[in-house]
This record gives sequence, structure tokens and C-alpha cells, in this order.
Amino acid sequence: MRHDWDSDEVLLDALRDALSTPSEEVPPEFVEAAKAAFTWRTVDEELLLITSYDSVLDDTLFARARSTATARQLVFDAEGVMLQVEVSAAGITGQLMPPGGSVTLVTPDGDHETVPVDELGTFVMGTAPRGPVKFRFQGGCTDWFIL
Amino acid sequence: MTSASPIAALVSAAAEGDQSAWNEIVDRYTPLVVSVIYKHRLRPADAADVNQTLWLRLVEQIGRLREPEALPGWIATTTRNECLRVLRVQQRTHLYDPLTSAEALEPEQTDAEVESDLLALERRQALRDGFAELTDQCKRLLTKLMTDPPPSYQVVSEELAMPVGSIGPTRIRCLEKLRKTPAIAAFLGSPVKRGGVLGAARLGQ
Repeated sequence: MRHDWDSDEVLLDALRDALSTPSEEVPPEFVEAAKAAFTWRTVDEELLLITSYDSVLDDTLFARARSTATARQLVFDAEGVMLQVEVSAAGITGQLMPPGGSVTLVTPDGDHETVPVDELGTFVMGTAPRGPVKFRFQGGCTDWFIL
Repeated sequence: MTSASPIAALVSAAAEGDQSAWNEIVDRYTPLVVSVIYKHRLRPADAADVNQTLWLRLVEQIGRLREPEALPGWIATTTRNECLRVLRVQQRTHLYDPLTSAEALEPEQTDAEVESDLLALERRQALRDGFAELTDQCKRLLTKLMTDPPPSYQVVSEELAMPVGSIGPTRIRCLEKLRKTPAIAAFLGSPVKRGGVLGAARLGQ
């Protein structure tokens, strides 16, 4: 759709529409949660691993796996560091490359579970809590996501 | 900071740790987040999760946004991606309501519709943001001219104490300023943003 806003009439009409359309009513707890999110701001030099693969968004897989509840796979990476996890009803297994230290599953309320990483980088956790989570490890973390 | 602060100023203040700037961003854009979420008809608990995730993601990315003016687009796209994820996870694990599953299983059917709704939301947001950045004189004049039915220049002249002859030129000038506000310019000039939402999700955008 092209916006023909070179025309004064069209632009004024669009503006009228924008200013007269009421904004969506926002539940107060949404605003509260949004404002509270700011406490998670870090001045970090920390490495942020971005979700680069999520099996849930994989269309080819999605078409086939629709009826079978297989484990969900996620890959986060940045600058040669990679965290790969598999999430199922039984819990979370994962691998951190390069290996080292421990991995913590974090919720907006704080640390949920911390487990050691073995020499191959693999780790095992219990089941995931609901709501947004992220993984933290030495020197970095992943972005927030919903399991 | 006032409600007329340009987005870029709010974003850079928030990136430096200014909670009040962050609160203003939240106040300004939660209606956009909520509209996107409602279009996807999530369960209430999921809706709250998506909202919280969106803001947590923005906090961690706010210092990395290359184009702060494109924030509304980023918000709409990221919120939508999270909604789609949540819907798909539900479909996979069969936690969804079977009565609505037929609809939920065909997300592509409504893709174009949602896309055009999102565009309308972003358009309105850009116009509101742009309007907020205008001078008081422009805001008063344009507000007056937008009333329905449109008032005669004679009436506008009396009510705003402006010479009749200056109304036309001022209207042109104010609309030109509106076009040039960062909010409108960013909205009109966002070429890459609409390149497929799921594609963008894979890149983590």
C-alpha cells in the first residue's frame, strides 16, 4: 500500500483518522510489567546471543510435526559463541560452545535454576517455568523468549 | 521529557538509564503492543507473557537500535513474532481450544489481513508521534481544520485570531513540517521492515 501523503488533503484525512481513533485500552498490569522490565537494563559489555533458530518457526518442520509433540529446539548465537537447547515436557537439555562454567535459566523474578556445564558443553535442567525466560552464562546471555 | 519528545531522544535517554524516558516509551507504545496482541487472540496469560517479553527484549536491545525512529515498526514486528511463536507452541502441544483450532491452524489465511491491520496501527502511531512534534500553532490550526464539518477560513480566522490570508499558507507549511518529522519520515522510508515477519524472526529481529 502506498501512502499518497504528498497530497495535503490525503495527509490531513489520515491525520484526522489517527487522532480520532482511540488507542487500545491497556490493562494496567501490562504497563506495570513494561515499566518494571527496565530493571533488567544492563550497561553490559556482555555478549548477547540472539535466537537464530527456533523449530517452532521452522515452516518445513512445522508442517510435518504438527501432530506430534516433539521437543522444541532453539539456537542462540553471536560472535562464535553458541547455545543450543532442546525443550520438552521432561525438561531442558542443552550445549554451550565453547564449553565452560555453568548455565542459569533466568525469569523476570530472578534465577530459576543453575547447572554446571560438562567438558563437552552439555547440561541438563528441570522443566521450564512459564513466561519469559533467558539463559545466562559466564560472559553473556541469550535474548528473552517464551518457552 | 515531555509527550512531544521525539522518539530518538527518548530512546537514547532510556539507553543511558533514564527510567522516566523509559516510562514514556512504555506509555506511548503499550497501546500498539496491546493492539497487535489482541489481533492474534491469545489467551490472557499468553497475552501478558508476550507483552512482558516484548519489553524485556526492548530493554536489552535499546542501546543497539540502529534507527530509533523505526521503533514503532520494531515493536509491531517483534510483538507479532512472539504472538506467532506462542500460537504455534500451543498448536504443537495441543493446549489450544479445539473449537478454535481450525482457525488457529491456518495462520497464513489471515496473514495479509493482520499485515494490513498492523500497517494501519503503525500509520496511526507515526501520525500521532509526528503531530506531537509540531509547534503549538500548527497543532491548533490543524486540529481546527480537521473538525467535521470543516470550518470556513473566516471562522478559523476568528477563533484562532489569524488573518484569513495566512491560513492557507500556514496549513501548507504545517503539513510540510509534519511530513518532515522523524516519525513520519521513518514510517514512509522503512523499506526493509516489511520483508516477511517470519524471516525477520529467524534473524532474531
